[in-house]
Amino acid sequence: MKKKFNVKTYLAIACCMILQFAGAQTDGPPAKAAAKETKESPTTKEYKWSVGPVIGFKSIKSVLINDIGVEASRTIRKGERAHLELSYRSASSNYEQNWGRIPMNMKTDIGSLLIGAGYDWFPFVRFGSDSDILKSLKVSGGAWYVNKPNYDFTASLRDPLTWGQLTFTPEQIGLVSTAIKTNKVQPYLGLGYDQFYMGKNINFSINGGCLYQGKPEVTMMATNMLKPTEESAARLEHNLSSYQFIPFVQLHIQYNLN
Amino acid sequence: MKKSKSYFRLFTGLVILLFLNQSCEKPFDGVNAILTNVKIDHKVNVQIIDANPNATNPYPANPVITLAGDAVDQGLLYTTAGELLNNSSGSAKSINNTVSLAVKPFTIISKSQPLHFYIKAEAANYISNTKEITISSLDSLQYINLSLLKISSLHDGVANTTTQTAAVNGTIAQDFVVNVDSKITGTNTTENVVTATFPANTVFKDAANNPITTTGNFSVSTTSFSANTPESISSLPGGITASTGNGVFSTFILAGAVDINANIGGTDIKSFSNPIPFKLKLSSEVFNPTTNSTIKVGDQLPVWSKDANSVTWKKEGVATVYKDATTGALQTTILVTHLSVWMVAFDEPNCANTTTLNFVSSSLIATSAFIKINVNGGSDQLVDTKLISFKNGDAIELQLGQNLNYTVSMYLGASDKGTLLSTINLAACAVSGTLTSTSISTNPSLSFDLQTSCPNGSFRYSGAIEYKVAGTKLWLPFTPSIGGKLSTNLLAWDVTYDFRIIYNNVEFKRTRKVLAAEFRQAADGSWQYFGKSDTPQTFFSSPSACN
Repeated sequence: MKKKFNVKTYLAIACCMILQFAGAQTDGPPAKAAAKETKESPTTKEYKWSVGPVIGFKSIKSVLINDIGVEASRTIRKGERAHLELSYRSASSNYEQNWGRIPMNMKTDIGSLLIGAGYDWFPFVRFGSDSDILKSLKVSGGAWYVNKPNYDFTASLRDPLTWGQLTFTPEQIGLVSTAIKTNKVQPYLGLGYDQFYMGKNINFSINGGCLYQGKPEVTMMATNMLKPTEESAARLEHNLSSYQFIPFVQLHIQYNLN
Repeated sequence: MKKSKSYFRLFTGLVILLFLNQSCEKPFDGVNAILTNVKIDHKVNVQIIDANPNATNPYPANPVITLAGDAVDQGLLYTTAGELLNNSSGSAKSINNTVSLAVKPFTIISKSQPLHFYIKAEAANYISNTKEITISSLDSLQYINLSLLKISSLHDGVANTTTQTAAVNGTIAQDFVVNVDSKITGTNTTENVVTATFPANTVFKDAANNPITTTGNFSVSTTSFSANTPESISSLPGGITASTGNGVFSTFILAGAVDINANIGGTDIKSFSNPIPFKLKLSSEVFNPTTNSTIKVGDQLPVWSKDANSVTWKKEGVATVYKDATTGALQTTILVTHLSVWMVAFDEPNCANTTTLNFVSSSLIATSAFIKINVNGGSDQLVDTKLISFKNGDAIELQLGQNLNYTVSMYLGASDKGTLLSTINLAACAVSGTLTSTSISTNPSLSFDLQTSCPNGSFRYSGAIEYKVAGTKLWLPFTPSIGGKLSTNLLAWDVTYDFRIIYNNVEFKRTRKVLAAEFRQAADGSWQYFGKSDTPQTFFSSPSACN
C-alpha cells in the first residue's frame, strides 16, 4: 500500500506541476496579455486540426497501466470536436503483491495496441461564454478498441520455501499464470480541461473519466506446489467484478493547425 | 482571475488524485497462495508390525530403524519433514511404528533404473527383519508392512533354539550339537529342521579375527527359516529379493536359511578355526528353475551368506541335495565359516526390463488393494507383496527375476484375506500385465477436501493417510490425499473411524463418525461433507505446514 501511495501521489503531483506549467504557457505577464488582447481583439485565432502526443493512466491497485500514443483531432463545428487516437498500452513489468500474507513477485504482460475514437463537446463555447476557464471545459465520450484486452501476469513466491534441510527455489515451487480478460471495445465518458479555444497553436489538455471494460473474467493456471492456488481464480474474479468501470486520466499536448 | 485559475489547477490535481485513488479497491483481498507438498513425487510409508496376525498387540515396541542401499548412499532419502537420512542406526525415526520416507523432490527416476534401498527393523524380543524396497518411476506412494517375528511366538516355518555349553579358554572340550526343531504345519508335533555340530577344540574368533579367550559359556542362538510358509519367507532377514553385489538384484527361490548368533561369555563370535557343518531339512516342494521342476537328490543349491550389517548376499559355493537315510527327507549340508545369515536358494537376476502392471477398474474412485506375486511351480513361493491404492488407468512397475513365471493376485483391502479381485499369469520378463477389478463397493463414494488455514496462507496435504475402525488395533492404508483432495469408498455409514497422518515427524490423529446426515450428495453421486453447516467443511483438518 505504501508503494502504491508513493506512485500515485507522485503522479498526482506531476499532473499538478504539468497544469501549473500549462497555466504558465497560457497566462504570460498581465501587460503582455492585455496588449495581445488589444491587438487581436475582438476574436482569437481559430484552428481546425490538432495533432499531438497523448499519455493516459489507469490503475488497478498497485498496477499502473499507461497508454502512450498520438491523437489527431478535428473541429466539427464550433464547440464540437472529434478525435482519433492510436496508442500502446503497457505497464511496469514487475510488481510485488501479497496473496494472503505470502509476498509474490508478479511479472506482468500487459501490452496492447489501442485505437480510440471520441467526441469532445465544449458546451460553454457553444453558449458563447467569455470565460477562459469555462470555454476550456469539455465533456468527452468515445470508445477504445483494445487489440489485446487481457491483463496477464505470472506470480511466483518472492522468497524460497524451506522444507527441512531442503530449500526449494521459486521455480520449483511453481508459478501462477493469471489472465484477466476484459472487453475489446471499451467505451468511456469523461470531463476535461482543454485550452484549444484559447487560440494558441500549442496547448495542453487534461481529461479524466470512467471507462467501461466489462466484467473481468479470470483464469488461473498454477504449477507444482502452487497448483491448488488455481482455486483462487473465483475469488479474484469476484473481487474484480467492481472493476468494470475504472477511472482514467489523459494528458494531451496539442499542436493546432488550420 | 489568477486566483481562480490557481484554485482550478489545485482542484484538478485533487480530482486526479481522487480518480487514481478510486482504484484503491483491493482485488487480492481473500486471494491466497495455496501450497501443497505434492512435489514430493515418491513416498514410502513403512509400518512395523508383528508377523503374527493374531498377536494381541500388532506393534512391536520401540522398533529401531536402519536404512541402507543405493538410494541412501546417494542422499536421496528424506523424512517427510525434509531431513536427510543416512545409514546410521536410528536415523529414520519410527513414529508409533510408522516410518514415512520421501525421495528427494525433483529426483527423476528412470524407468530402467529404479531406486533401491533397504529398511531394517529391530525390536526387543523380536527377530530383526530387513526388506528391500524398490521405487520405480511410477511409484508415487507405497505402503509397506515390515513384519517382525516375536521369538516367543514364532510362525509355522520359523523356529529358534538358544543353547549353551561350557567353554574353556575360548574353546569347547567336546563336540557340541545344536538341534532346531520346528512345528509341523497343521499339527502339534515338531520335526528337526537344522542340526549343527560344533567340533571339539574349535577356536572361536571375534570380529577382528582374534581368538576369544573370554571366560564364560559358549552360547548359540539359531533361527531357521523354511520354505514351507509365506510368513517364513517374508521374514527372511534381507528379504527374498535382494542385492547379490555389483549392482545386481535377484529374486531368490528359498530352500532354507539359518540365522546364527553366538558368543562366549558375552563376546560376540564372528568366525571359527574350521567350518561348522549345518544340516538343513528341505521341502520337497522347492522349485528348481534350472530343471523347471521341484528339487531332487543330486540338485546343486547355491549357498549364500549375509552379514547382519550388510544388504548384499555373498555367494559361498554350492550344496548338494541328498536324502536323509533315516527319515528319507531331502536335506543339504552347508559349511558355515562365519556367523551371519546363511541360506540355500536359487537366484534369478532381475530382468533387464521392468514389468508394468496396469489396473483397470469399474470403480470411478481409488480402490485399496493387496497385490501378491508368486512364482509358478513347486510350492508357488511368495516373491513380493504390495499394498496399493489405485484408480482406473493407474500402473505400477515390478522388477522380477528372469527365467521364472509368476502369478499375480489382487485382493480387495490390505491383505490376502480380502475378496480376490483378479489373478493373472506373467511369463518370464513379461513387459506388462493387466489386473482388472469389477468390484463396486457398497460403501458410499465420499469426497473430501482437506485444508488447513495458516496465518500466512492455506496448506493442502499430499501423502499417505491411515485409518482403522475405532477400537481395532491395526492401522490400514487409507486413500491417499493429493493436494488435500481425495475420494474414497472405504468408509461405511454410521461407523466411527480413526484416521492418522504422520507428517513432519508428528502423528496427527482424528476420530470421526461417518454420518449420512452430515453429507450431501452431488450430481455425480459422490457425497461431500457439510457437517452441521450449509457450506462444505473439511472432514478433518490436515497437518499444517504453518511453519
